[in-house]
Amino acid sequence: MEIPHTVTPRPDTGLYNAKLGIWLFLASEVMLFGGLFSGYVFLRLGADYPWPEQALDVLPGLINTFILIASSVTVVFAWAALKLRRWRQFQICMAATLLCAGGFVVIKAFEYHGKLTHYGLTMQDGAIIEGHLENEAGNKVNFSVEGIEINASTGVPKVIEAAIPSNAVLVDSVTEETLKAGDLVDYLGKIRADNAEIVDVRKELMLLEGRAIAAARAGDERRYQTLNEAHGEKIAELSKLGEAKQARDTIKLLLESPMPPVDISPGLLRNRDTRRDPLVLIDDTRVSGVFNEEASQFTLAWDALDFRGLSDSQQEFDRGVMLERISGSSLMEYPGVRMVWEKHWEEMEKRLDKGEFLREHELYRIGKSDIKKILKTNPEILESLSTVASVSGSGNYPLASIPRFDVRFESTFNPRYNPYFAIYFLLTGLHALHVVGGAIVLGYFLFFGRKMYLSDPEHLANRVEVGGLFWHFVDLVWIFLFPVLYLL
Amino acid sequence: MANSAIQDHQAGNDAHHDHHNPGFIRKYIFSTDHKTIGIQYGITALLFMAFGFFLMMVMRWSIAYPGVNMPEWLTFIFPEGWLDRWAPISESTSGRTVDGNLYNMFGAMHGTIMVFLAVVPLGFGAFGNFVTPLQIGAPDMAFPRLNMYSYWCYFVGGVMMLGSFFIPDGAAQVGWTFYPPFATTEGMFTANPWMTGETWWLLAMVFMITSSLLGSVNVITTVINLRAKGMTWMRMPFFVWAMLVTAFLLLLAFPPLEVAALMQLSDRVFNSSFFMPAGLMVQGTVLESTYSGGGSPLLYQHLFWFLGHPEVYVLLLPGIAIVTEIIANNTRKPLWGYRSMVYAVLVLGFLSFIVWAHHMYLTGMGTGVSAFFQTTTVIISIPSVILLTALFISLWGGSIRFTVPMLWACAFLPMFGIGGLTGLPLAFNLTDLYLHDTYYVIAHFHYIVAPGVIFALFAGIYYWFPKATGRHMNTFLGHLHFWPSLIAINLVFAPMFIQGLAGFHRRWYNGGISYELTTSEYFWLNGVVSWAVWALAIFQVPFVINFFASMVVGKKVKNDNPWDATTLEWATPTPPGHGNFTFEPVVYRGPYEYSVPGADKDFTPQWEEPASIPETEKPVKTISGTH
Repeated sequence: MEIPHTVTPRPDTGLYNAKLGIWLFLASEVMLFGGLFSGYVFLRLGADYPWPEQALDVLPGLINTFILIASSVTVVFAWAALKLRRWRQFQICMAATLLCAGGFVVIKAFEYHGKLTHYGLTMQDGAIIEGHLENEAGNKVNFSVEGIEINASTGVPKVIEAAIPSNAVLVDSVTEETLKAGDLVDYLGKIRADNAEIVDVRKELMLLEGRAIAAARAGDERRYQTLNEAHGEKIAELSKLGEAKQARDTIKLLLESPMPPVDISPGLLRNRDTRRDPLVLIDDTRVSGVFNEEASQFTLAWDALDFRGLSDSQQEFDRGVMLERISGSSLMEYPGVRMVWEKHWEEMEKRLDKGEFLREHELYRIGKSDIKKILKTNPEILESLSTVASVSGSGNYPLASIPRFDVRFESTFNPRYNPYFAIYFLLTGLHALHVVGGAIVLGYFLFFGRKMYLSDPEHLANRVEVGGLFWHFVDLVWIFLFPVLYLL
Repeated sequence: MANSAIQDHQAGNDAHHDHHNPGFIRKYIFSTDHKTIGIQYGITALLFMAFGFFLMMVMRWSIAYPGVNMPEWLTFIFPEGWLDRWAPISESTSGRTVDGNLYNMFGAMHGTIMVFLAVVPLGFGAFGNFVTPLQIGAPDMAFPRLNMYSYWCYFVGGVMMLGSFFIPDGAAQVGWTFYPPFATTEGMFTANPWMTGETWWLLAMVFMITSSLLGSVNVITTVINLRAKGMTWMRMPFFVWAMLVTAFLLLLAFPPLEVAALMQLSDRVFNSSFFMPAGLMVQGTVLESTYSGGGSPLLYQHLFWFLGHPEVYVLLLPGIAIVTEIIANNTRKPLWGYRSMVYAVLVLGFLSFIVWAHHMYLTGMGTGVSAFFQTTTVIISIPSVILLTALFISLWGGSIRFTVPMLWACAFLPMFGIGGLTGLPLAFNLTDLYLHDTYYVIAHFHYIVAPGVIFALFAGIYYWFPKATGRHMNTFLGHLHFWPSLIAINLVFAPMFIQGLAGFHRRWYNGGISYELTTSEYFWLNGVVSWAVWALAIFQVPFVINFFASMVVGKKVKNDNPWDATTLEWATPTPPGHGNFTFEPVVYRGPYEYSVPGADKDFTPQWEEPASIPETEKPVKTISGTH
């Protein structure tokens, strides 16, 4: 059996199957990226936080744009070479296309690496400070544990073990039993088995209620009375059980002897606001003790400041209120911040006096390049500081030690940081996957196409044409993606 | 391949001299033959449908008898250990009861399985695959290997959905629509966010979207490029038109859902905030330090329903397509308004893309937006009514053969009518606000999907079974399947209209026993519905017996065209071999030439060469000349 029109076009539609197929596939892809771009518009219009405008380095993006355009040209040459049956020329052009794809991915990887090592800290008042972490201590919560309170029904010992070393000895505050932290699993199981009885009685109670209501509804007075009495008995039973076992909904354990402080990963915390005591872990376990502020602070070589979050609304900025709030902002306590801000505002005032129209992200945000400029033109700032960090390949930056509890939200520039970076990573990530996928297919034609070239060169040319159409689409997506994410 | 340019025009001749002799695995498991893949789709989808139905049977127990022990016949299919986890034996009632968690899990999975794993794969995957290439006279799909991948992507997605029942957190419990922020925060306080039912659901969804993408590209290409000689657009059976439109819906509507699934996956495992607003509180904890906030739950609903509404027509169109074929065949007269139906289905396909937000009136997205979608929703009822009306009028004056497939097809018409017309109050913002979260909506869309589409799918199974196996299904068992099913399914869904209008909320796991004021008058209907559901299950037994027994002992077909039909699939050998046709099919006329005046029999097949051809109707010799 032979499928018609795998190579030669059908006369009335003018298309061979694969060409029609790829156009349909691309229509689907348009809807995919259309959905993503619509999502971008929706998120940007609805943003209730300072949207990062021009937050990315334009240069790598621009280089990648030209790389992709060049590869689109070479892939057409590769196809034309096949049509003319010039194998060597095809090889050269296709190899150039693949090199471009490789270059694109490498540049992209560098960009991603930059994002994933760059931190943004949102302070409790909404101001943002960005930079490189000099130590990772701030990313842990250093805590001297004194006791834990486990929710008997939801507690997951695995999470608790992460907070306490397994050789620690714990004392049950009710029964005064002692146990090793490593035996918590069994202990918890025992308590749960005990509790099951109460849970059962409760269930039964609910059932009786339901039946009593049904009896009342049906007008069955006698049945209702019986059920009502049974209900009363159950309540008595429950309260009796409750007296003996009430305390077991939560199990409170104290450390027998003090332990050295432990680092708890913020990933295990329900709420990273460490000012609250006790600490709540994701399984609802409450850890009480002493939080070690010193050992849990961010040391940040900062290179950007953003005060837009101090405004009540992201639509309206009242300059007087903003200036007042900025000078009272918690960021101002850190060395160098006030000096940099003053230099920045001097410059802004000069430009405002000239009648320039300045947008909020220019007025209240001091980006990396601005800070570089300010530090360069005012060397006295860095000289006056006792702590300065040099970031490799980028120069010297002021260093700030920021206590954890001053920080409301901390993250590298990963998808978690805000929806802008989330959509940045999703859009560029999916696009990069398309580049890699396309390169694999084109690479297959280059490295394994020789046999088909010898037997049926037209078929191979068709395949390259179809692959090339896809490649053009990937290029086109980038042409949209670049201005939307990098320039706007 | 070398001389494929010549072979291109000999398609269909090859069945004779096809020395292609694949082994068992290539022939029945990893097959690239569209008929085998269609049957694979069909059987897998039927199994999923049975499972999805069983979940509903368990849910109906909790609704009719809240807090009462489940009987053995509802629990036997689940493994003991699994039951101990999700419905442990309570000491007080010494049996297993359905609690809210189990109900939510089954509710979410019933919806997911029925829509994505049962009805669409059966309608589009099975019938679309099996019948479409035959009806246009093609030797196979345009991309047979992609067709195979499509099935296996669907299979992997389905296995993941089933597998999610057995991970510690159980399957998804957040409704088949997966609305965030609830769907995102559900199970977020677990050590490994990858091992939750919700995450598995999202991953399985990506596989199923891939499957439907491959399938739809294939069907469209096949219909456009592989039509036989003389098969012009207006000579295509309506079935093919409907499949073409369905494929376009799948092709263009699913990608935004893929976007939504990827975004939600990112929210779940990377803690991004696509759909997470600021200041959200879960279980007494403000999420300000886990999620940055700033996203929009409404964005998810837009992306979801942009798929969700065309999906309704993806469910429906294969059903209408099957019914159309069967009605034309059994009324023994041409379809009334074939052209109107074709244009109606095209308009329907287009309009289905701009009505999605009528699912979202309750979100408060604004009166202007609501007014727009209200208008488009009312407009879309026009092509739907054209389709239904054309089918009704087709019955007029026909000498109808009430064969078993025809019974199901006839039942489809009023059932779909009820489902459609009860949708009108939901199209309007004002009335929808009251009805939206009630059983009224459940009754409305189930009338379309269950006694509507699923009845049509049964019709299709009875109708094409002889072509696939060479044997008829038993008529008596067919009647035993049809009549009780028709009665039971109406007892299931008609009471829900009453309950819905009375204010029964559609997500109560206990049938509303705790809302006495609302439910006292109509609570008893819960029992009626549930018993009807279980009766409905019993009356599927004749079908199962019929389906398997008829393959072996069913009455053999008298010839390749046992229904005296006119469309091309009946020109193939029974069952059709690899490559389908034993001669090169050429099409001389429209698809429904029944009872043509002056003809010697009451049907004139599309492939039958006219004895004497009037100059004006001379068959076209080349494909290019037909346009």
